[in-house]
Amino acid sequence: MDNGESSYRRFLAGDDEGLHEIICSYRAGLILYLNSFVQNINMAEDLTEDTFAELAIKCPKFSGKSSFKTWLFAIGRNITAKCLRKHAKLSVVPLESQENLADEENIERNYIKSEQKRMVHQALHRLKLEYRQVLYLIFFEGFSNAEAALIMKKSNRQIEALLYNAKKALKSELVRSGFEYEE
Amino acid sequence: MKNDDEMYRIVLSRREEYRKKKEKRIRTFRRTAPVLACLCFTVVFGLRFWDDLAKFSRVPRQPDIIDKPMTETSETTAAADTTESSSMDQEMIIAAVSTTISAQNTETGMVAATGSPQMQTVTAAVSGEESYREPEHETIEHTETQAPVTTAPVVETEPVIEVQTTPVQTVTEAPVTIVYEPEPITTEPPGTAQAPGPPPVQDPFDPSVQEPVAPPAQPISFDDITAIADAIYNNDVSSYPEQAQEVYLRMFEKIRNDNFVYQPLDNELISLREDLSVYLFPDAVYEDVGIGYYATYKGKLYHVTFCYADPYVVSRTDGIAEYLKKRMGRRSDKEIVIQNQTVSELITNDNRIYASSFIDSTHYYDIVTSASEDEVMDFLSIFSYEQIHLKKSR
Repeated sequence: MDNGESSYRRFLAGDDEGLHEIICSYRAGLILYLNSFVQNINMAEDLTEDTFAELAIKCPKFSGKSSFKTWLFAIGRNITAKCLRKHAKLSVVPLESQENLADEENIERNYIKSEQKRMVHQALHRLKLEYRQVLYLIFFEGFSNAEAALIMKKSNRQIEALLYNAKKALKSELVRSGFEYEE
Repeated sequence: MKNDDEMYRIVLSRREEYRKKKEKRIRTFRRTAPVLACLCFTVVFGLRFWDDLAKFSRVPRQPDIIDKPMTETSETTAAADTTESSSMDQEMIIAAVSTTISAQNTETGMVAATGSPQMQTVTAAVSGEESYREPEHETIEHTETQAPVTTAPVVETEPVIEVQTTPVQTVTEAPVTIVYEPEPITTEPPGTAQAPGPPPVQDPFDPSVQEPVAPPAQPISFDDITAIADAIYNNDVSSYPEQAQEVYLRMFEKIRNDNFVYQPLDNELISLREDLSVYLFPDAVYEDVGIGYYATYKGKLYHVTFCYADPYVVSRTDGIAEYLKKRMGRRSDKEIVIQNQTVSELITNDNRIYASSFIDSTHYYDIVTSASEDEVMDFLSIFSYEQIHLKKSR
């Protein structure tokens, strides 16, 4: 039982502090993950808030078939997908048009400590949606291939193929932007 | 950007807001649900009884007028006391069952000829009124000679009518003698006939069917079955009031289609009263086409009417009691089974008993008497009837 699960159980038992712990643990990572969908940090923050509100209001049952973090990110992804379907905003917003770039940089700086990783994360914005998601989940959040497959609702083989192609695309993107890439 | 604490507070506030909305929804539901349930119940209840309510609003108030003139004289006769009670009963029955004989009487002037107080039994209703009420009989005592109460002026076409002045029964009641004239009218329609068209089928539940403005057609009296057969096959109704002619033609055709009529079986126990007329009852909202006879059993007088049931109402009802209720609004106090037949029985406030039962799907009999209930049961247990073919009887 990871901390998220125990915190959630305490919250279901009536201890609101459990929800506070969940928010503290997963807020930043969830925002950045959802940002890989919507490419808008404020919208990603609102969607993250919606995800925690979903937990707080509807209190969905956690069955324990996956880790709590995987389950939470899957909920966030479903809410985001529903929101995008509703607003038909699947188009990628160019970096230049992002209004709150500073906010994203702040949260990125706080959450991703390594400078090198931050550069890679910024390079992700120029990749395809699915490449961004799989790379973020596996290299920044530390999910396994199976967990990433669960969150993205894909099979393991699809994740492996997606990861291979995403790495290739990221490599060429980094080379093009002058990143010193070590084999 | 919100930090962790801000997001936590926002999430909790959203949860509280959601809970308040939920409680409000529940409160609203609890307030409105009983009202909606009552409304739905009322609608369902209303729809369920819509037919009955619609029917009640169209059931007319009762038959028309019965005019049974009775002459009282100051003569004192020495009639035997033992015959008094039975004679009185018979008069009551005769007065009650002959539902309508008014227009003709008005025209004949027969009543005026008597020149003495008379008793009228009025069963009745003014056509055109919408409210329903149970059959009601009231007795009006007139202190001067006057025509029976009618609801519309009488047309001047007079049938050929013979006035019988011979009293049939005498009631001695010191110091007054009541002389009853059971059958003051005999009709002999002329022989010329015109073939009527097919009778229109009236739906008693159709709201478009308007009640007649003119007074309903009155029953016609005949001496015997032969006279009835002649009248039906001559098909001449020109001697009757104009507004009633079409009704009589329909009645004749209905009987002619059967080519027979029912008649109580005359045996050593039940005897038909040949001195009293046989009546033909036309179709009306309060009664079916029928033929009525007087019969005597153990000194009690019974009026037996064989009626033609309305097939439309028969198809929508189950049993004689329901039929009578739907067809003419008559209630049934009890149903009894006699001779494997279900008989609907109604006892009125003046202890008159109505007993009705289906003969087949299109015929039923209706017996009226002032005998006691046990006597009626006794009568019904031996009561039987036969078919009389009209052509043969001619």
